[in-house]
Amino acid sequence: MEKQVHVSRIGEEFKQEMKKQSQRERFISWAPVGILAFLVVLFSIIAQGFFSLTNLQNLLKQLAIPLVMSLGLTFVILMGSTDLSAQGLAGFVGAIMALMVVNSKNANNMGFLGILIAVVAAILVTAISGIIHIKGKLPTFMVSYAVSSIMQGFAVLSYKGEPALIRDEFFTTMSQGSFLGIPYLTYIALAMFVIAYVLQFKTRFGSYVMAIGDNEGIAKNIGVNIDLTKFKVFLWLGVCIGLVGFMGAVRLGRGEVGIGSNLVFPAITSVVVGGTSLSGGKGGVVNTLVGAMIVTVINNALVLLGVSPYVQQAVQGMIIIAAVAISIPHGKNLIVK
Amino acid sequence: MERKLLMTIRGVTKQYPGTLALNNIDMDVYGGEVLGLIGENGAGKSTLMKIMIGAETATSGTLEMHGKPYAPHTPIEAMKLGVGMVFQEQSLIMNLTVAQNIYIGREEQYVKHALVDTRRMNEDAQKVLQGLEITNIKSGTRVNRLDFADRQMVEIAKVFDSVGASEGEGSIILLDEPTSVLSEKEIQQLFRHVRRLCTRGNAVIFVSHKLDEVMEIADRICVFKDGCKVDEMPNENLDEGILYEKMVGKTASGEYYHVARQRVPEQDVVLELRKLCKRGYFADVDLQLHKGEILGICGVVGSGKEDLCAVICGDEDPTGGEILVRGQSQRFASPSQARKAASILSVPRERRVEGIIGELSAYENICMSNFDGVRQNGVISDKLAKVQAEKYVQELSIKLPSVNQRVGRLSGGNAQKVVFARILASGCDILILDHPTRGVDVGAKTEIYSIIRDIADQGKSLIVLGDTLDETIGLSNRVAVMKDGEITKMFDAPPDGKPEQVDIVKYMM
Amino acid sequence: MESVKNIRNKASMDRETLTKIFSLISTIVISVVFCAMNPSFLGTKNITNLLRDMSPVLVMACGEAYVLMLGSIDLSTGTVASCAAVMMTVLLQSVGAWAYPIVILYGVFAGTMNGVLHTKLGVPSFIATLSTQAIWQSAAYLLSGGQPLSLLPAAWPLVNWAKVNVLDCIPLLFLAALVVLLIYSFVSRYTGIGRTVKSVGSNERATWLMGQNVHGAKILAFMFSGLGAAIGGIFFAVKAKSGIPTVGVQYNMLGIAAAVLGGVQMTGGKGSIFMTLLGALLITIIQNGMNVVGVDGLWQQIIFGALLLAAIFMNSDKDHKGLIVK
Repeated sequence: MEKQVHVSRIGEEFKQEMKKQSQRERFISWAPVGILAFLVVLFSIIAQGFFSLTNLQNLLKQLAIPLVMSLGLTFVILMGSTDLSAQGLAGFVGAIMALMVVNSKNANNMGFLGILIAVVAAILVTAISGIIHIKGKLPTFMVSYAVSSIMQGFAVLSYKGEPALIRDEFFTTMSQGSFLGIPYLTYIALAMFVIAYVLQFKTRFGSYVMAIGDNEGIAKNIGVNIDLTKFKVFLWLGVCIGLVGFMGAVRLGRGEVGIGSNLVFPAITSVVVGGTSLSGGKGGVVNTLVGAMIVTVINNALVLLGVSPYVQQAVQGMIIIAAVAISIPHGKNLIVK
Repeated sequence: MERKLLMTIRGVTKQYPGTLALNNIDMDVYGGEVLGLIGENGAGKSTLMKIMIGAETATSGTLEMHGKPYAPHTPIEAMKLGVGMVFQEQSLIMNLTVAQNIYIGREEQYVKHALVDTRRMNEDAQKVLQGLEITNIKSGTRVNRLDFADRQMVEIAKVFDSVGASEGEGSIILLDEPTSVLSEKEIQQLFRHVRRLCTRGNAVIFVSHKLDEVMEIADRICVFKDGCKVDEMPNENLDEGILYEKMVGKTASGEYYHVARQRVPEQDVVLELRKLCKRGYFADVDLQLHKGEILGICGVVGSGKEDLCAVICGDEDPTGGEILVRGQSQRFASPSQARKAASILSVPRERRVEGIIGELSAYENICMSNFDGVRQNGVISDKLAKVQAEKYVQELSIKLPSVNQRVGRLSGGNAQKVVFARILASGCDILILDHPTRGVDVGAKTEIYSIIRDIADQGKSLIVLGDTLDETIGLSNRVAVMKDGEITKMFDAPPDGKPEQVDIVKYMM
Repeated sequence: MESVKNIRNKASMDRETLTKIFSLISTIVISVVFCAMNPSFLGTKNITNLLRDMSPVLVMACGEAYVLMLGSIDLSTGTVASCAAVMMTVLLQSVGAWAYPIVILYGVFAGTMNGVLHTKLGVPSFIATLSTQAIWQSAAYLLSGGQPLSLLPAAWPLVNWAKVNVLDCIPLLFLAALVVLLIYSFVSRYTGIGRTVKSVGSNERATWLMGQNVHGAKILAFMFSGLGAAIGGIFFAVKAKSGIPTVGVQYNMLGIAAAVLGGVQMTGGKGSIFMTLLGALLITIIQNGMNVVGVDGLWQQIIFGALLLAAIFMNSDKDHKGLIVK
């Protein structure tokens, strides 16, 4: 009989710990929604003009690009990697796309074909960096860091000095126009969200990415084709970066390298703040939607509150540190690089 | 009932560098039976199972399944051939649903136009669960919402179903310590499934430290020790005592452990634990370590002994209780603090990842736990470090071409001696040796035992978690037995009255 | 098993040397090519220029090398340098020579902050430094009002030392950078904490269990990186007599590239601080040489990116089969 008591003591404690942990996880998984609601209420009170139809439209417009970018990164981060290549790559896509549609620098008029070429170029680049990562066994952020720099160079080189202004009327109206009060670009973003949602929850790919992020060793044992899944993640990232480059150029009205600056950081912030763990295997596209909304709302409100735009980045920096610090597993002997 | 032969294992041997994990094993597995495997830690049970599911390959020997040669390279392949394993560490993906986990890697039948038919998959998964009488789990729930025992049931359902997919000819399911997180009721439920599976012509191999459970469920029991199968018997009229006796390893002569050199420890208590706890790992541990004493701790995996040592050396934090070093209560934020403030240092278990820095040379490794010993004018001197290393290479007879040799290239025994050289150079006097002879060949082992005696002769105190029970007993002045996180018994082990292994095992299991 | 390990160790040892040899040969070949294209490339005047241009790269690279040695990364050095340059310009005009110690302290603070965020909050280094990078960029913009600042002539006497050449050809600026390099190199080789940095990179778990101060070593490495970046910023400011809020941006990558080309492995544990000298030299030669022979400067980023990729590739352990790389 005494034996039974012993068994229960440690076993019970262990079970309790597990329970506590899962309760904490559940709490954290709902926290982003709570934060979003809190921020909306807070800004409605303190920021004049925040709670208005025009600003709602603004928010939707501002949401579009960061959302697509962070949807691309979501799968990368879900499997425990990171990618910084959008910085240069999106600028590159925007630059060459502007040079292929009707523009101020040359006589091209490829229309949609131009966009297609630009997006395919982005996919090619991420595919190559994916292969370097998978076959060369180099960490993704290092590869993407170098790739970003290279692509940024190519972007600047492609237009030499003066960026091309987009003169194609279809695209110039696209940046301003809206349908049912929702900007066109936001439709693209929402469509991408739906696709990403299906990818994560309705395909094998989604489960496999989750498995790789949770524990690559187990995933391998279960029979997941690790390399192929990783490669597909990079293809998806390429699609998103390609679209972001295109949307950025349309929004800006010209194709310049600046499209890519200040893109990756808010996207990583969105993904992480939404509750997707940097170590992988936790979170997903719905979290990213919430995260992107949080980041957009904050940036929007900071402008309304008259805070210097220079401070925005700093605020994001602090948010991301707080979000990571809260969500990451702690332990004094854990190895974090 | 006609027993159908499912798998035959002939002459399977597994050689790791420095250790023979499995030695010429012959075993048959029949359909319709529960085969219990018992043995101490390191007796070879898990290695055999790893070979059976293709996670390891045998150095020599053959396996046959249904009369055909069987040599899977991955667990998936094994699964397709009808051998599946429920791992002790769960292999579920936390953020996927129960159904996704059950069918992961086998979704083909649910995929249409590249999309997974989640509804049908959930329904089928629910049927699988129902088939195992698991009614409290919904197949659409994410696994991280389940408690630990439920996860275990999902894990079991997953393996049952995936080998069941190839059922008909008879499959084999391996259960490795499946009951450790289950309640009594769940265990009974599990046993019912096991029996039902067997009546359908499948075989279940059941591995557990809990002898009473093995005796309850198994039809036949194989006993492993030191990499050999020492006995195989039907589960009839057995009692635990007989099994214990068969399980314990051979007792080496006292000479092997230099028992004659065992000294009587002094009275001073250098380290005292008072009601030390780490929630979920061990509880209320009271221990005293005297000056010049070698204290052995034994227990099965999960008894909490490793966690206890991790707490003492500052690697992990306790959740309650006190550590007193020379009468002073101490708390360590890190092993660095434990070393500097309390002179505590450990020889860790996983030498290659924890004990040495393989890319550094021997002399650099040896000075790593005490730079003060090799300083000249306040600056670290490679020259002094080399001189110091030369000294220890001589003293411990480490075989090295030169002290500039990278430690990563040394054999297990020599690398371990480098670790001991570092420990000696550190000047610490409370040492925790976690499996000090793991992966070390026999010759080097007795040299290490001699080093351990030398250390004790210098008036230093040691806590030893032996690689085998015999080693722990042979080396120690006293032996503490841990079970389920508590110290269940303390044995005195004077040179002329070493306790019997069988007596100790009784308190361990 | 043992022999497989042997071969692997040998191979990885050679990789560090391989990178160094690659850098050395590249340096020589590129110098010869540039010299052939324009003989003035190796003229005294250009060498002086080259050494002066090299100074900020060198100090930033040897700081970054510390962090890379841990197996971590510091993405904030570029903006720390920018911010330091702006601070320098502002402070020289208000507090005079006190600007130097204040900005140096700022570098120590920025670096230590990274280290503390990384070790105490457990935030992975790339995300922690990516965040502080954003914070310091904001600070640089706020401080400068978004515009490049030029140093008022009144403060010029305080920065004229940057123009001084010793023996008519070696800039004082370069000597200052060399002193930093030597100090960093000394700490890395001769102090306990410096050695701990390297062993953390090789095997963090073992270093921790050996009773070394792992967290302290990490914080030190980040502190050195921040300090190096701030000194780099000071160099930018005194060289150009101005504070540009984006001056350091591309130097973050150049610093990393220089360290890796000098043989520091990005996964940690290998390489020496001193050899970043070689990497910094190679990078500056390319930068400077392209100007001298008149290649479009826009190619630089592409070339450096490719060079970094090649160096990382050469310098990494690829033959470890079960290795999981994220």
